[in-house]
Amino acid sequence: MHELSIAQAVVRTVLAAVGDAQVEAVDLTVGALSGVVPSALEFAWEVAATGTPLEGAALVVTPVPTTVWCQRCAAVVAPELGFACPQCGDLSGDLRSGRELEVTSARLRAEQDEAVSA
Amino acid sequence: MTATAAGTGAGPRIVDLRRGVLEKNDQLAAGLRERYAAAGVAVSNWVSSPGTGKTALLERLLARAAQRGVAAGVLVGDCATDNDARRLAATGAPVRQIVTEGLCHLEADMVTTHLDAWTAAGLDLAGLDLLVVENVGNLVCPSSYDLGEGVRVVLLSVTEGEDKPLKYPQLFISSDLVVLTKTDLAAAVEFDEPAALQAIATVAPHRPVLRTSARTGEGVDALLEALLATPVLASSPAVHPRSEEVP
Repeated sequence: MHELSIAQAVVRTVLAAVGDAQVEAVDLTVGALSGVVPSALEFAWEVAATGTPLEGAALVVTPVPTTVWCQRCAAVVAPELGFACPQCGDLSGDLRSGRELEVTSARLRAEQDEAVSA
Repeated sequence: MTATAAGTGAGPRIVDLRRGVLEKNDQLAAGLRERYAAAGVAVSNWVSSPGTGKTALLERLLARAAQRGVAAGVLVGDCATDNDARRLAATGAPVRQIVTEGLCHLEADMVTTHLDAWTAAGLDLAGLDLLVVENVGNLVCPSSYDLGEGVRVVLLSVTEGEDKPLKYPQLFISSDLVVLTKTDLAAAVEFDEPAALQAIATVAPHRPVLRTSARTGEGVDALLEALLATPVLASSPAVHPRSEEVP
């Protein structure tokens, strides 16, 4: 249960980038092997965002599946369990996705733009 | 990285960030890695569930290191108490306890803070051949945090069940070396070693596996040699990407 630490890191990352702009939503990619459980992170997000300019902003998590490069099939495949190719059963340690843990974007509130241009 | 705004005025503006959530941790870990490289010390990060026998194996390893003239030190993390540090300090090796006060894993900033305080208190990092960072016993959370180590060691005791790597794959995937512990108990608990090796290979193919026993001393020399052979890395290892994005 380290999702609270992760949520606090997301808050720091976003605030460092957008300053005090009003944020509507934060987009995050979470790999299946990142060690982070999206539902626990969403719960921790509310706690971490409270009392910061991000209070009330939504956290939108996009899960990323585990994929590996299978030498024998010469293809990127999605193993069902561990790193075994679902087609030929070969084990591959050549991870191509699944460890992502990244803040991809922050969506700012529309009113801000109007206020700025008015 | 600079954030760029791509908005046209209508609808919400989207600020493109693309930043690793653990970027700050990774930067601190990179700083630690440079520090270890400059000091010429081989550093390993030991991770496992609680009760795997990390501390007992370390006691044996430190005693053997002292016999062989290898200077080894330990930074040990626990949620509470300095029991482990006191046990390990009895071997005569330099030891420092990190009490996380409930936090379930070590982060690079804790290691940095403690290393600073430890060197201020007289530790000569360059005088060490080997530094072991014993992480908090936890099979999930430590996998996300790079501590600047040259090698991550995951320990699995024969009393835990052969399918543990399948149940907790993240930690095994992020490791460089797998150590089986308590092998003296293998027969008593009917440990199915081929099944365990198969489970390890399924989630973490091509990792070396060492059999050890703190009781009999099996594998202690081999482990010491494997740790001493750890490449002292000046930059983040690319083989098993951790919190950074997979290329």
